[in-house]
Amino acid sequence: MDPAESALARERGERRRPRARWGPAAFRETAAALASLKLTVVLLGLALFLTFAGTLAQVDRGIWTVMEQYFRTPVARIQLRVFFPRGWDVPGTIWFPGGWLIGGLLFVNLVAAHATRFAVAVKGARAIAGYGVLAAGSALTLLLCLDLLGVQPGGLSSISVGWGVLFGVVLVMAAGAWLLFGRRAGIVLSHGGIAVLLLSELITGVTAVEGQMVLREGETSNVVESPRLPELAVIDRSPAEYDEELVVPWSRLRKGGIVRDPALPFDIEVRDLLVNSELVVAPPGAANPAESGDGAGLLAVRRPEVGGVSSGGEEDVPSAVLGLRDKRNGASLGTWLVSYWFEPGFAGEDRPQRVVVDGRTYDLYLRSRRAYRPYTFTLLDFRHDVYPGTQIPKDFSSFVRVRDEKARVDREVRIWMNHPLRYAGETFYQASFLPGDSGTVLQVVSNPAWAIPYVSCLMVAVGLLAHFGSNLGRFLRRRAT
Amino acid sequence: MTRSVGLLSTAERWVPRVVVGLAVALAASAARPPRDPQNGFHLIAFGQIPVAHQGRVKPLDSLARTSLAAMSGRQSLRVASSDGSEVRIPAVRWLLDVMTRRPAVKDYRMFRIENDQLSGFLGLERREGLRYSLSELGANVAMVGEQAARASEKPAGERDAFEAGALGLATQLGVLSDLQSWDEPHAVPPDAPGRPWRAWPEAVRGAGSTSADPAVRSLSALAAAWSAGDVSRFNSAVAEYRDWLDETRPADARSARIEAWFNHADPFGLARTFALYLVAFLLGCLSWLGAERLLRRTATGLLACALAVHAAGLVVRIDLTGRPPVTNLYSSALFIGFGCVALGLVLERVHGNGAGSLIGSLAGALTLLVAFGLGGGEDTMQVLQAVLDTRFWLATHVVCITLGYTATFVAGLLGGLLILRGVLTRSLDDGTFRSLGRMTYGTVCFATLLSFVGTVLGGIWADQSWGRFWGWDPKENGALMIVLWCALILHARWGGMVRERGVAALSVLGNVVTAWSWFGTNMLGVGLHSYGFMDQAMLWLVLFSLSQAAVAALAAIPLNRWRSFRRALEPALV
Repeated sequence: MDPAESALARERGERRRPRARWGPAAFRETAAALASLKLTVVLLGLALFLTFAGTLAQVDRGIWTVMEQYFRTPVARIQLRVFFPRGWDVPGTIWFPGGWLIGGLLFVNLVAAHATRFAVAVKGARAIAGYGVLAAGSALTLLLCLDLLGVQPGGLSSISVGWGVLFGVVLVMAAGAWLLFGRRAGIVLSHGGIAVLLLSELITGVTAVEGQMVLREGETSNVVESPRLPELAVIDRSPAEYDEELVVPWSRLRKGGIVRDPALPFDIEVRDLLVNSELVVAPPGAANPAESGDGAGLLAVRRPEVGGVSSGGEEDVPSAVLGLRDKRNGASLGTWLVSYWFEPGFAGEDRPQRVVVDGRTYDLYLRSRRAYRPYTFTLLDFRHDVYPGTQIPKDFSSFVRVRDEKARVDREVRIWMNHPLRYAGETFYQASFLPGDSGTVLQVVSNPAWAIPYVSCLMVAVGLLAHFGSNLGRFLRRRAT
Repeated sequence: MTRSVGLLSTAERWVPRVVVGLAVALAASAARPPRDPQNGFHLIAFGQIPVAHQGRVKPLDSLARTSLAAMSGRQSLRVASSDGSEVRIPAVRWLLDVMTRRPAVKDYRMFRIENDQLSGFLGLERREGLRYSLSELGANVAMVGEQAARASEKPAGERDAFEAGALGLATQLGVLSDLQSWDEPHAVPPDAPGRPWRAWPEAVRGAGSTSADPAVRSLSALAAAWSAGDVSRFNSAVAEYRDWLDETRPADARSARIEAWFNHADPFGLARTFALYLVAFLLGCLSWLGAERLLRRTATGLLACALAVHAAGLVVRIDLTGRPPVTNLYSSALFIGFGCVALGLVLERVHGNGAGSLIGSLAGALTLLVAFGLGGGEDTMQVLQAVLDTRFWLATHVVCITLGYTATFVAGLLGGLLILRGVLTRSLDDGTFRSLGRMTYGTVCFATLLSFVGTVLGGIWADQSWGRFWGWDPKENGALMIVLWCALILHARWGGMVRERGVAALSVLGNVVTAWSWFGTNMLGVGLHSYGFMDQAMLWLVLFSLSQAAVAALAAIPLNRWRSFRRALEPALV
């Protein structure tokens, strides 16, 4: 045998199979399999491949579609065509473990490995102290996530006290890990960081909400829209003091069939849904699925979904063709075209599709899902600065007046690139602007898990630094002697 | 016997010193500020005059070089001189001729037209260099404009090579006419603090005449003197204007002077640092054949010298841009090169087996080639798009992730060295094999740390600037893939699934993952990047990936069949 091989065989001989230290044999065997490094390597390889496929898929699929199809799902369907030039149009789809599944298994693998392989090597006072310090560190992290340590995410875009506090929290955990695990503390700490990061992606995927606030200069609004979540609004304007709005979410429309509900003034049959569309004047004599309202003269043409890698800042413009029917006798009330293109907030032109039932008039809109806030934003000024003599954007800023009667807030703020506004548990980012710099688009995000990646990043960094650092130190000392 | 050993050790001591001393002297002479001739036009002084162009203040020398390179592919121009022979004129001279509308300009062959359909369309004969003059284009200029207008209506990704070429040529014609009309650059400094630089026609309109504004006055005197061919008037106008600038705009005058000097010294040019890296690499390879210590020490010395020049170049760039070292693809190549060489020298210092300096010099040479391909002739210090305009994140995330690329490349090169040396040569002994294995493994550890932290910092930046920590966008995914790959290598080794050979092969494949993250993800989206370049780059990326896969595949040969180890196993044959 080669001398090099023999040295390594020795090294391999030192490795014991991981075993759970308690429980029945079958349980121990399962735990050992779940904790195995082979599983880790396989899962990392699968994750790599999935990420690669999910990247390629973004050439012709939107980032949100890819996220749903590849990452935020237990089972991904990978289309083979993504791996080849699009001109070849290779058919076929393979089933593949999705992001949720791989991430979940990695988490289980990690936990199992620590349950079986990483024994707490110390006893007595040191062990108690170790558990205590670790618990204190975890408690501090929790406080941090609950915004109770006074660290504001906004303060973390520079070197600041906030980072000092974060470091402090992580060092407490590092100390706890060191007391309990000694030399292996670095690995334990960084694995802890990874576990926390996986959890945070889960929490974000489930809880984070993103919307947009679109404001023209001088306009005041309390509406947050979600353009990715279209809804059909049926608006009854007959009450004198208010409008009555009924909305059908896109997810219901996507199921197809007939939407039937006592609250709705008519039944709605979904004839066609277009994720991205443009409207053209219907050529005379051509078959047109819609026959009423603006749909009679216009034809919705399907456009490819906007790809995740497209840099033009384009967005999907959904449309739908709906057949309306009388609730009692099923008589047709016409086939209608509804679209973002008819919506004033999107296209700048208000074209409600008007249906009359039993003498009452209803306006139909396809629009972004809306939510209303208890405060208002007024756009005082939008500024689009370019570098002198060029069209290269230097900065975008929105000067906004925030008014909140309940909280007695009335002040002016500036929101600009890399400098969002944090208000009422949400964050407002400068995201885009309206044509001709006539207004602004603010991204509105609430993500309760925002602090976790910061902590996790530091945990892994400190852990790896400690582990590799001590290994390097040992190696250099050995060489020196 | 003892005498020869003594001789050898003397040579080992002195040859590296002499060679490195020579290299230092060469580098120093290249870095000396250039001087104008006593009785000729003071073109170098002229080139140091600051102007505003594309959002930043730069010397006329930079403007001239980048404009000419964009048109012709070179930073100097070959023109027919009065006696009929050909001479090469520097870019500033070309710029002066253009800005003063010398009649000779129309015969300057300055437009490089690569697409043969386009040159055929314009009725031009294919010739060496593919450069054509305005008078050759003649009346066809209008046709170029028409085709370009058609092409510009299409999205960038749907244009074919002809359309992209027509659009490019039309753009260059526009640049030329802007220079001739003095609409670009904005040559006249602000007349009051807080005001922008102005284009010449605008400044003249504002002042009412060419004599009111001192800058306008000097510039017109200068142009008139050049047109008249009056050396002394030209030189005194340049000197006068520069004195005035030194007084009124000292910061701009200083940075323009430094940048013009930097252009001239060209520390990242193929004839400078690149050549040193190449020589160091060749010496490193030769050291396996004999005179090992002597050659290795010389190579390491040269590498250190080249690194010093490389570092100096980076420092000057940081000073000029006022930003951390990496702001675009070009500067990332420079920084990765710097990191690889520095890491290589550290490894050399620790292990002392020649591997560190060998792969350092190879990486240095390759990354400078990449930088040359990316930046060749463009303005590499452009201003930054709004979202990138943050020093904190450029200094933390970008530097960290770039160092992560660096470490994965170094690990991949070490792995490749182990495989190629072991399989193809007899130079690998057991100790070196293990030591190379350790180096690869250690570098992968380092790479894991840097890529992970860099990636998460990128997520945090995204969270800070648009409220989404992780968006699964291609660039983020690329970074994640590097982290996953490094983690995979480490866990496979900890689990005993791979050893030296396996870690080496996996690290070589890591080069593919890193190259994908660095470049591949940029090629997915069409848009800001020019058509021809990214197509070509994709070809290079595929070739690179195949070469790395081939090297990794070599590692599949069992150890006892490797040339280095075959002999050890078959003592009877020796």
